[in-house]
Amino acid sequence: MDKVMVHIDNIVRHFPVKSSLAALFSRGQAYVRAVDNVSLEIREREILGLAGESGCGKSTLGRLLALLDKPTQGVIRFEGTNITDMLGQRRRLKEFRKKVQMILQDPYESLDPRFTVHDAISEPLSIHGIRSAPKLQDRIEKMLKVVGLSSNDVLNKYPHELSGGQRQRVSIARAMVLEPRFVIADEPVSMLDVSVRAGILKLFDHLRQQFGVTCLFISHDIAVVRHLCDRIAIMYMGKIVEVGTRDEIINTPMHPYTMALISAVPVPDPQYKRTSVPLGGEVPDALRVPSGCRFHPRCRHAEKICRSEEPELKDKGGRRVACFT
Amino acid sequence: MNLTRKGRFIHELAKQRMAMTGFFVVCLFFLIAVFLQVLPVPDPFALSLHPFHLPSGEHWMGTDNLGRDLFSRVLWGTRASLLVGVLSAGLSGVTGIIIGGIAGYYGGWVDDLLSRITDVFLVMPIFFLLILIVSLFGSHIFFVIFSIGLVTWPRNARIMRAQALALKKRAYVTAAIGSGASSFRVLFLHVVPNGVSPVIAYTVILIGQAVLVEAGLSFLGLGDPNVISWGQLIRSGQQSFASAWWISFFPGLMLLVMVSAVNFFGDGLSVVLNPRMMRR
Amino acid sequence: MAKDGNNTLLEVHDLRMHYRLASGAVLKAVDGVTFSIKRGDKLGLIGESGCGKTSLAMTLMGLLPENAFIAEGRIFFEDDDVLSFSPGQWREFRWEKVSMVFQSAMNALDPVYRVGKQLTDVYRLHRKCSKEEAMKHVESLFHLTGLPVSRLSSYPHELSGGMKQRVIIAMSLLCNPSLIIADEPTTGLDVIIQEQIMREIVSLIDQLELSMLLVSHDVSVVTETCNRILVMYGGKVAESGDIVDVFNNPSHPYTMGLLEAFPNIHGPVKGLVALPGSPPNLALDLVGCRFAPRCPRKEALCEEEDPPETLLHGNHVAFCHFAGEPGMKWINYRELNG
Repeated sequence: MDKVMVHIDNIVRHFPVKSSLAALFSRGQAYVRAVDNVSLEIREREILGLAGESGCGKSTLGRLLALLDKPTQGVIRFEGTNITDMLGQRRRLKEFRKKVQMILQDPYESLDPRFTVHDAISEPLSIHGIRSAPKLQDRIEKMLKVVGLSSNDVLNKYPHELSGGQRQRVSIARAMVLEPRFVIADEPVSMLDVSVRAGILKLFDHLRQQFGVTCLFISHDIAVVRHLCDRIAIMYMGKIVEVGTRDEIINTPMHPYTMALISAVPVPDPQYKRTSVPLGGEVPDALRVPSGCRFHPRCRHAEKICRSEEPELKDKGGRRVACFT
Repeated sequence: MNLTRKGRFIHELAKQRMAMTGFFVVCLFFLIAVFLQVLPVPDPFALSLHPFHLPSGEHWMGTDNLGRDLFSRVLWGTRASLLVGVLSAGLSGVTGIIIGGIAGYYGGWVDDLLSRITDVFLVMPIFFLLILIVSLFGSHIFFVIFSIGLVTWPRNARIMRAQALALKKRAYVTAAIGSGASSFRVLFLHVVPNGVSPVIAYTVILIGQAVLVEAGLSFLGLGDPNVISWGQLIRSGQQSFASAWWISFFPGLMLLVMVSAVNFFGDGLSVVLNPRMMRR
Repeated sequence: MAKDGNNTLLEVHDLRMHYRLASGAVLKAVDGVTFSIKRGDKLGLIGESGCGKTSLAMTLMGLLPENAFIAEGRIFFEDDDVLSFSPGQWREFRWEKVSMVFQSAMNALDPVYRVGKQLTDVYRLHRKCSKEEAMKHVESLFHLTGLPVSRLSSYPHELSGGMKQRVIIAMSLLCNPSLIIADEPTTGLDVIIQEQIMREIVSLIDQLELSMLLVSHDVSVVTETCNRILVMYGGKVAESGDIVDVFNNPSHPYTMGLLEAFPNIHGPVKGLVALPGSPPNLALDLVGCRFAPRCPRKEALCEEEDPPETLLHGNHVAFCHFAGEPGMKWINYRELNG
């Protein structure tokens, strides 16, 4: 069993809602519980997939881990150190940033349009004290090679001169140039053409092999997650409902939501007969969270206890499921 | 055609004919102001024996009440106008960018405080405030520049603040923060450069306004008496306007041409710098 | 002209639709596309960004921007020459014969009007009838698409993504068209809703005996819902045919690469394939096979001559100089990816 790198203990992130309508419904402040009591462990050198539909809180969780946002409650431990309150401590935060980096979804927005590829990748290095031109050049060229770009081609180009796939590779190079220990990738391939995606996914695998970097791969596309990740965690309405190895989750899902999710993924094979688990209703409004288990209104197996109590993540043969049935 | 951003920008700008005309006129004025000493014009201070002389072959714009060649005086006035125009607009722009950028980016109480201050300045009547300042503190030309700059920055600050508010949510800003960049760095290396275009466009137009304000002040006798300026010239020709119209006319004409040219250019610039151009 | 008489609904012959760019160049978005749709067909139009599929869909609906023009080609719908329509004829054609389900509700629903009103307004534009009659018709469509009638008085922003998409589907069915063009109808929706919506769309199409042109970049969705597929690349057709044929025997290198690039959640966990390079710049004058620069099997011929149409089996055709040849089975992109 690999060592655990990141401990997420009962993390909560509430967003106060300012609209007057919400105030009408509840006395006092209404909250959107984007991340509600999440506990998770991320192991060294693994690629953990965090999957779920839009609004489930996965991006928020990613930002919390990257310390781009502060949790309302709970503790995050990175390599043993409690980092939850680090946002206010500038020097420690800067050190942390060397070790934990985030890759964002939109290749078209992640790069400053006024920075050349060289500028973009050298910025993290300059911030952290590496400023001599030859040193910068050396590290940038090495990194470009790692991500599969030729520095002759792209070094002095601006983002608008590059394709989506190339831009994403530059973003990855920028994130990796400080050789972080942990990378959080938030939907890194969702906005890319399909024929380009595989290259980026391979790159993540390659990075893990070459740098030993741990990766949290956030995506709404379970099929993509399956092709890259060792373990998968499924989120629904701010909570983690199931965690397991890739094969366990995909082939033998235990939580009803996971089952519905997997069975709903279309299969590119005209001869495959997919039987889907029909799921009624839609994701409820974030302000009107169902009582008890959040999933119970849409669950076929819902029982009385599901309406009143929230299930906790329990170990069931090596993986963890939050369900009473 | 795979033009660089600069290339595209210049290409689009060149298509705006009025703006380019304005630009060339301003350049012309600029060259005059810079190379004034080597230009073959008569000494603007030289008194002659032909006061109130009509425009003629010898004196292209005639002479003023003391027989000084008006043409050369008008050309010398270019210096004062451009100096005041460019420097005060520049001061206004820089102040506005800094204050607006900080307010928009940091938000919270910083924004509240700076916005209140901006609002206060915004409602002040510029001209009267300037009259007050100059009357109290003197009319040295740098004072005039300073005052104009100080009073006109709020509009620029508002523009920059709006830009900063929008830009701080961009992914590349998040990425910079994630790399460990200090707020200062993020603000002045990422947010400001990407949001500064409308400020630049407005600042160019401000140049024209500053020139007018300076002319106004000089016309009222509040400008720097040691510097030849168009307002001053117009004032000097006021009394004798009925008979020697050219003394006020030519400086006035120059003023009109300069300010129009600057405005045309500023207009064209703001069309081209429209955010749509910046995105891919 | 239609050969099958009643059975062929839409015929497109060598359609070329170009955009005039500000720089003076011409972007050949659709460069010689020929296909037909029979009654009851569900044709999936597959391709990635820049291949011309959305331009093609827009051309069929006559929804072209100002700088777009038809350079060549004909479109026949039930024997009518569509490209020669007058504006009046277009009005009758759009929504009554062919209607569109747009990609996002933002493209189709006006945020300041209630949805019921928007639908009745559209209906009354095409059919002269009273408000009550229109409302009744809209209500029946709501039933059909599974929307609660109470939602007729909602504003678009009060509806969830899935509901908005159902409203758009209802809107497309208002005037009983024969052909529905669905342009990426579920892109941006979560997978569970996507599955519901696609299932509903297909069931409606079958129930009402309509035909469908599904434009998508998602091979999985197309494979599950369509019976025929047309793969576009660089403004041209790369391969087309019955879906089972194309899937089992892809004969164009691009199709092979595309199919390998799509993760199958139930297949083996093999590595995914990435296609090197990027789509061609359609503003340039291109010669030869559009895919040649990225093709692992390209030869000199490919860069000089446009590939001819090779008939493979029944409906199945591919545009490749070497289509169907023994050495062309399943080009190993994986090997090339290294």
